[in-house]
Amino acid sequence: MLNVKNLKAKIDGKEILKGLNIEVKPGEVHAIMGPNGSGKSTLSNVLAGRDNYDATDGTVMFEGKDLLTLLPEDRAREGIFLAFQYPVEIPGVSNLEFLKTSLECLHTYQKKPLLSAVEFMKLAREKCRLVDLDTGFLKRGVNEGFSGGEKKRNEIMQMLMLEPKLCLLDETDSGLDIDALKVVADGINQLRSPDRSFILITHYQRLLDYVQPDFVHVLADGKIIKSGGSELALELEEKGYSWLESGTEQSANPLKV
Amino acid sequence: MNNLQQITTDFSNEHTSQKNLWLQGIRDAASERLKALQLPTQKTEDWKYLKLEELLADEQLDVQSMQVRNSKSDDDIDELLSQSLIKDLNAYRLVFVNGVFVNGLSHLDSNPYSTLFSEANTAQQQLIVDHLDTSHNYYHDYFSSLNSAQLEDGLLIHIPEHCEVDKPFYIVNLTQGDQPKTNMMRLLIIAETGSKATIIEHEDAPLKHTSMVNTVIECFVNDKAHITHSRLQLDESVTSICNHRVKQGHHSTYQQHQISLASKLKRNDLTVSLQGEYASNDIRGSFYGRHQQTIDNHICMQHIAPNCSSNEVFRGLVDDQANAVFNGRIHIHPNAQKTLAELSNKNLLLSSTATINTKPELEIYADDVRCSHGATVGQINSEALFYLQSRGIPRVEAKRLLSLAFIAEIVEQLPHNSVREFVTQRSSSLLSSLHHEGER
Repeated sequence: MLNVKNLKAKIDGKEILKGLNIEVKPGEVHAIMGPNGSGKSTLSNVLAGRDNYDATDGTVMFEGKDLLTLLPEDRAREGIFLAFQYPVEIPGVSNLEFLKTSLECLHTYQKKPLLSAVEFMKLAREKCRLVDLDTGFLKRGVNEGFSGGEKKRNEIMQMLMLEPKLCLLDETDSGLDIDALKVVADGINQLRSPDRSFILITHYQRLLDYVQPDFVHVLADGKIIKSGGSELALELEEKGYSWLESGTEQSANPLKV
Repeated sequence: MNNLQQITTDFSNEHTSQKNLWLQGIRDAASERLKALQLPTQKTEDWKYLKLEELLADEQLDVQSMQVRNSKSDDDIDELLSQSLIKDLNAYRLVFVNGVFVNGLSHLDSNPYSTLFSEANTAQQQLIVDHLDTSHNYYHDYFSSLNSAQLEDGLLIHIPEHCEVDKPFYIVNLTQGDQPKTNMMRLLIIAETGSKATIIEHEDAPLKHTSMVNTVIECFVNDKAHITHSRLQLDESVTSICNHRVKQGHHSTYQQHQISLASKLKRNDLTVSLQGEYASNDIRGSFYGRHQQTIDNHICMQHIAPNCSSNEVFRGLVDDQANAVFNGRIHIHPNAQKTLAELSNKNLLLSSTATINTKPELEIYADDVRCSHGATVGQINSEALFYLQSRGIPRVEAKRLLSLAFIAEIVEQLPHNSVREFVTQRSSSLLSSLHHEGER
């Protein structure tokens, strides 16, 4: 599904990703962990196509298409979804209008039948309930005045609505209390299917208690320096990252996934 | 010499109107003022951002006074109206097409509050003469003097004491067919003590025909009277110069909502005089310019009496090579203690070649007042743009949503659901034509 090879990326002239490799097959859940400043968020932003996150080398293929040449909106239409680390507040654009426009854009592109106004409302209300958001929020501005937890739940709500093929979750678990964390995890688990994949970017083991990953990768200094199964996350939680960063032999011989 | 100056000269020398002789005093006084006035230039502070002579160079400024047509409308006007009117608005409708009052389409008979100057009875004539051109120190104003000098007819809305008008007045000004002459519009609103009314003005040119309109509006909001006034300037093809003056008595309120599309030239001058204590004034406006259009907004808030409040909020959207001006002035006179005055103008530049000049001004001669003013000029928030794009919404559509969001605060406060929906729909379809070649 997603194949990233030797990806290098710069922000403001500074190289952040220094030759990153990762392959994600349909149905897999990958967790990417790593210390602050290792390039985790850069990776998700490069994949989603944010301005000023320029890939300088390497390739990113998504279902056989060269992702790096696509506009952000086309990446979304191809089925990539980024749950933002810091969702943006957009006063004046209601959640309802936003979701409706988004869904119509995706469905038109994917040649799916458009929902009627009634069907759309029904779907939106149902997904709101799933993430424990009051349906009254649909009439409010996008993320306007939302608490941190509500913003993250809104990201999951959008993900449930749009049903992407590849979900990138950029520290969606950070800043959440335990109830909200469960809601987020439930949202992810509900969407898990043999043809849908996830990349969970996280600092902590916490989320992985609820969402069992197939693979865990450690990202440090712009490269994946270690990969393993879900047990690796537990090890990291216990030992921290320093034992990996000091051990250079690991980066020379990363595990094949 | 500009066409317009030529006209003025001809006019003040030769023109003697036979119509409505009781207005002759008004005309003569204005003609006299005009002799000392000339077309403003960029050296005039209030006009410094406009190349007026250039903008008006092509206008054929022969003057067409307000007229009345008593017959029923013809088919094409019916068609035009059905396309452009606000639907489901229960109102006293007053329709002008090319400055001609169309009786057949208007509710003049069922409406005891409105009359044309030409049909005014003696008492109304006296009322008109007593009020016209008294609302403001207009001596420096060229265009309103021109309007008065050629005054033949006008519309009076007179709300008696303590009368609460049951439905809004809906004044429609349509342009149909390219008009070689300048239309003169004149509106006089007198709200007597304790009265209450809503006025909705709607200017439109659905077929993009061109014309020039010189409008003067005078509102007298007497003690404890309440007026809500919406002005929808939705014509992009009409060159318009509008002088609007409001005079308020004590404990009166005047609320205005203005939605303006720019055109080749659209100039709005609004002067408010708060003359009675505890008067309150609230103005919300948004304007949008694109292509090579020009829009120039001037608001002057005169705090004359103590204990009054005023609040002005304007949002501007400027695209392409359009040129927009916002000049908001708050003038607090020595006697106007305990004034509360606020002014905010925020602008969004949608292209790197658009221009906005915003100039908030405070002039304060009293020492116990609370005033604030602010202006900002910005661009579309790139974070918000990316957020929308990342959900599959094309950049152009995302820009449209964000532009609409920027003026939503103004549009949402329009009185009447049907007006709000009408404006939302119009602005939405207008902004969907947003496009920027060469940008990604």
